[in-house]
Parts: sequence; C-alpha cells; structure tokens
Amino acid sequence: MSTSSPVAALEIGTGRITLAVAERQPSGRLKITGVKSLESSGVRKSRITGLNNVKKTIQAVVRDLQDAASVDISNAWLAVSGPGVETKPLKGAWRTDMRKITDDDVAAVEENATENNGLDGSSRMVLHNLSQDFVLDGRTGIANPVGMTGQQLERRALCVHYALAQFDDAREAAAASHVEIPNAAFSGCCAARAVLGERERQDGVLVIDLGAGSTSYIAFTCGYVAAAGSIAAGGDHVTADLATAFGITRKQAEGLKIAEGCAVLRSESAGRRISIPSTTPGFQARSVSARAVETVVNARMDEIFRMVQDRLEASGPTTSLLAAGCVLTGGGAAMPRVCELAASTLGLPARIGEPVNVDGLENDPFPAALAVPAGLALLAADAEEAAAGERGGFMSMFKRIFS
Amino acid sequence: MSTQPYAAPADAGGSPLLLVGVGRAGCAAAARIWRSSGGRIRTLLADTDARTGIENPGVPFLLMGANRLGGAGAGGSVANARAAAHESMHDFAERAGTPRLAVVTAGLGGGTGGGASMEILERLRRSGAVTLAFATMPFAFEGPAAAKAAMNARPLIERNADASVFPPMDGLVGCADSACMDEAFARGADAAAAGITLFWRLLETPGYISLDLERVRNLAADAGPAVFISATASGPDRAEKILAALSDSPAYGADGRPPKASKLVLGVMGGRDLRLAEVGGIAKGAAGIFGDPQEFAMGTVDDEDAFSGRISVAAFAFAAPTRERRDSRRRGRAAPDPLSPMHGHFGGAEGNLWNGEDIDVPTYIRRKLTLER
Repeated sequence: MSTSSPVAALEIGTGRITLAVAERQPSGRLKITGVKSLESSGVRKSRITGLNNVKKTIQAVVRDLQDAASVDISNAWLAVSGPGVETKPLKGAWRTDMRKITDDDVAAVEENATENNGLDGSSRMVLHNLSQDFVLDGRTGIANPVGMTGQQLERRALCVHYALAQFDDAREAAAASHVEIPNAAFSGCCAARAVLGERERQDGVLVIDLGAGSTSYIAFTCGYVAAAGSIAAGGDHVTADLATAFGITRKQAEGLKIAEGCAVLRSESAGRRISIPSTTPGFQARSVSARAVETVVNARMDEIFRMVQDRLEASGPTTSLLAAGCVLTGGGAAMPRVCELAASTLGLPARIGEPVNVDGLENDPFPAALAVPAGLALLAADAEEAAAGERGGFMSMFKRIFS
Repeated sequence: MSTQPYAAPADAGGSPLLLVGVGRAGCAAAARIWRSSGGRIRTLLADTDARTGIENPGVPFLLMGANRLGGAGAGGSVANARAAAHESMHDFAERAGTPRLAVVTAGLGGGTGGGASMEILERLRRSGAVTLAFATMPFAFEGPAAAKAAMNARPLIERNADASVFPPMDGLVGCADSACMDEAFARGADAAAAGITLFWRLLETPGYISLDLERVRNLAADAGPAVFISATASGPDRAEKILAALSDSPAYGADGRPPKASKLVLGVMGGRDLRLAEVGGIAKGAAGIFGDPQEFAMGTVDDEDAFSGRISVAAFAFAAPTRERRDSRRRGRAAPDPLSPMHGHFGGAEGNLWNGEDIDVPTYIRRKLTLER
C-alpha cells in the first residue's frame, strides 16, 4: 500500500525513451511500480531533433505504462543531459558583527550567491543549486555554520543550468500525450541519488552515467558535489563508429555492439571472426574480425572516460580525492568489462551502480540502466513531499538533494 | 540578424582587402584598426554577443546566431559559436563579398573567437580569398581552462586558414605584472592592432619600395603557421635596435628563438629621414635572423607625419608547410565539418570538439588505429 500519490519520471534519451512511475511505501522507501522503455528516434546527442518522432514515442510509452500500471499519468519530471547542461560555481558573501551565525545569516548568504548567478533567464534555466560548503572567516569545509561564531560568511555552491529552449522542446513533446512536465533534473544528479550512499559521498566518489547520446558525470568530495557535467558522446558514437568501420547499417552495428562489443581487447578474440547476417535480400552475410570490433569499441570508450577525466581535472577534484572510486550507470554500463577499462583509464576502482535507494527493480535484467529514471523519481518524490510540507520545495534556493 | 546595417565606406567598398574581427577580443582589435585607419580599411565585426555591435558604433557588425543564441554570446562554448556561425554564414558571405586577401582577428580561450573563426576562415577560403588568421593566445593569468580551450581551437584554425599567427597576449603586452586586468587586455589588443595596422599601411599606402597585394597573397597562400613581429625604434642606432627586437621577441614562445622561415614578408615604415642604408641593413639582417628564407618580399611606407624620427617594422615569417598539409590541400580535402548534413549520423546535431579533434569522427580513425580485416 502506498502512502502518497505516484510520481512519474521521464527520460527522453537518444537510444530510448523511458517512463517510470513510483510510489512511496509504508516503510518510507520509494518503489518503482512500473517502467516502460521504447526505442527512441528524433533525438541526437540528448537533444530533440525530430519533435514529431519524439511525440509519437512518448505517446506510446505513456499509453503502454498507463495500461500496465493502471495509473493516470498527467505529469512527469524530466531528466536532462547532453551539451545543454552546464555548470557554474556560485559564491555568496555576508558580513555580520562578530557573533553566532543564525539561520537568517545563512538565508542571506545563500540569497546573495544565487542572485549573482549571472545567467540569462531568457535562455537558461537553473536545474540545481547544489550545496557545497560554507566558509566562515576563512575556515573552509563547514557544512552548517549556524551557532558558530564569526563575521564573514561565504557560501560556495555549484549551479547546474540547462538550455531553456531544449526544456521547452521536451515539454512540447510531452504535451502531445497530455503529460505536463513541471520540472527537470540533471541526469547525473538522478543517477547519483539512486545509487550512492552517504558514506560514499563523504569518501569521494565519481558517478558516470553512460547514455547513448551523452555521458553525464558527477563527482562528490567530502559529501558535497565538487564537479558535474555532461559530454555529448556516448553509446551512439560506439554504434556509429562500428557502422563506419565495417560498412554496415546502424541497426547491424547496434546488434554487433550488443552481442560482441567489449570495452577491452580480449586475448581470446584473436583470430576469431564474427558473422553479420544480411539485412537486405540479395546480399550475403559477411564476417568481421572480433579483434577489430573490440579495437573500435575500446578506442571510443577509452576516449569517453578520458574526456570525463579532463573535465574533472579542469574543475578541480583529482582522483586522489575519490576514494570510493567510480560508479557506472546507464545502458553503456552493460558493456562487458567496462569497469576494467574505467579503472585503468581513470585510475580508480570502478563498479556498476545498482539503484539501491529504490525498490521494485530487483527483477530487471540490468537495473543500472534505469538508475536515471529511478533517481529522478526519488528526487521528484522528495521535492513534492517537501512542497506539501511546511517549507522549501525543489525550487527552493539551495536543494539539499543528497542529504 | 544584425544590429546595424552593413555600410562600408564608399572608398573602401571595392577594396580587395578585408579585415574580419571574430568574437569579443577579435572585434576589439579589428575595431581599433578600423578607427586608426579613419574607417578606410574594409572591416566586418562578427560576434555572437550583441553588445559588441553597440560598443563599436560605426563599424559594420554581424550578429551571429541571433536565432540560436539571442545575442547573448556563446557562453564560452565552441560548439555554440560554430553553430551560430553556420546559422549566419549566408549573411556573412553576402557582406564579406569576394576579397583577395582577408585577415581574421580573434582571441582564443573563449567560445566565439575559437569556434566561429574556423567557420569564417573556411568560408572566406572557399570564396577565393587567401586568409590570414591572427588569433591571440590567452594570458597565463586567464588560467588553464582558457589555455586549453585555445589549444583546442588552434589546430582547427590552422587547418582552415592559409596562414595563421598565434601571438601570446603575454608576449604582446610584455611585462604585464604591474598592469591591472582591463589594462592588460587593452594593451594586448592595442599591440595586436598596431602590428596589423602597420601591415595594412604597407599594402594600402606603399612607398618607394612597394609591396604588391598579389605578391603577399601568393606568399601567404597555404603558408601554414607563421610568426608576426612588429617593432619600433628611434635614435641614431634605430636600425640596430629593430634587428635586436626581431632577434629576441616574446612572439617566439618558449623556444625564444626566431623560427627558420621559408617565406618572409617585411615592411619598413619611416619618415623622410629613412635612409637607404637603414632599409638595406634591416632587410639583410631580418633575412639572416629568419634563416635566409627562400622567398622574400619587402615594402616601405614613407609617412613623415606618422613616423618622423623613428622606424617601424612589421614582419611575417612563414614556416615551411608540412607535407601532410600540402597533400591535404592538393587533394582539396575539406576539413571534417560536424555541422554539415553530410557529417554522417550526427549531421543534425551540434558538433563536438575535444583537444582540437572533432569527436563525431570515429576515434579509431583519429587515433590512426589499424583494424584487423
């Protein structure tokens, strides 16, 4: 029996469009009660390029899920990723007399940080103002300064913002199914919300969501978000590379990737041939080298991890601060031996991230692929319950979505 | 599309030379040159930020990507800037016309300078112009992110320009330690503008030894990387001072030594007191400094009002183009264009750049990996 109204989470991905519904259980945990995922078309690099195709797929997903889960879906939160997502460090300052810091001081410094974000509201929307630390008279790393004595209070945070036009496109696509999108969240935050525990965030951890059109990442050090972002390269690039390398169709390349792709070069692949059946009448089946397939896949996956590493280094956190290692989610995490490649490229221990903070996905063949919709459902449920409560909602100034 | 109509001065409209400023820093440098010429240099400023047009009244301005970015700038995104340039390329082509020689000024390290320049250079080259990119590298104090963005954009500019110069802002300003931020940027832009203005005067107002535009065009065509140095000196030993400045310029980068050039374009500007021995000494000395280039072109400007009592020199030293570059140009192979509809599966999406590479091109191709057949 649920204790609140269901929430819905929509991910318009390059490879698939996924809709999940979830309900809060008496135990307090959120349970995914229904998921529907269909192959996507009209999306490139996580950006809608064919609105009508996306509308049709969303209509099919909504219809199927409503039938299967017996729920009426009138609104759904949206997970966003890709190059439309950008981040900006925020810094607020507040000066008082030498005394104990109060809640009002904290509110004032947070307001100062957000009002100076410098974003153009006509083209960008704030997804999250992610809390980092407070600095009180030069003392850094303070999680909550209330009650501490000092004069000069600073607030550090990371603003994650998104292209408003892309959000509007997604709303337009969903509106055709009479589904309203009240809010959006960054896919990296969603994945982290689903798969991480407090201990890992304190120890320092990197979550990489390997999507088809984009790869999102979020890094935590000392419990707060140190870096986040999204790169417009993902599994779709692996497929495109295979299609180019062997002169095959994208459908054949996708099948080849799923059946034979491997993130590292396996010794047992030497000399082995892979048969690719013909999809066109009159053309014969052909065979390609298994080693060549792995070479193509390995090169692309390695590059994606290196791009994430570059972004991290540019943002500040180094691998030495990520003691809990790297957690991989998304469909790309299903690639055999991807953890091995991530570990060697990033210099971090790596594992697949199961969405441990929600129930209901135990029977899914690869739950890590659903980490984003699962985490988004968690964020949506948290926010809607907070909004129904006495203070703060998802759009409150600083969302403590990881505490 | 633009914030003000393009209206080139009547006496500049038919000029075979075109100066294009791209991005905020590039436009600032180009606008300075335009002003110092009294508006005689045919100039077009192109930026994604509408403020650039407002800040440079009177200079022809093209707002790129107005539909996509709304005049708010590229936000430091090279991909946004490239997409904006694509959106406005038709307008740009109309306004640029068909110049014989085009100089494109840009500042690297942000979005528009690096991203849109490569598209504009490619377009100018296709229209038959010989293109010379003058793209300043960011100050060291702008940080590693700006340096990295500049290094990413640099190879793409090199690929699309006939000749390209990448002077470091630190080198243009000299010792900037005591300068405040805006002063440092202004000094860098001034130095870049002053150098290019000298070159322009050489072409537009030749003296006793004239430097023919077509000669410069032939020398710059497909020349590849270059260094640009300008120096001014006065006093009885001014020619020696000029040669000393050419020998030891911050433009040579970390190496600190003048490169061996295959081609050298040298301009010497002075007043009525400019002596033949000085011109000869500078020409001979400069050729020696740059390793006796195979091709050498020189011109003088005699302007008593501007150069009385002093000599200014502007020099372009072109390195020999690599074999790979020559072969690539000979085959007419265009640079991969991530925004083109023909760009494979990702044609409908914005392009991706990383470390100067178009990552929509398969990684195994860019890494030159051999696939087992």
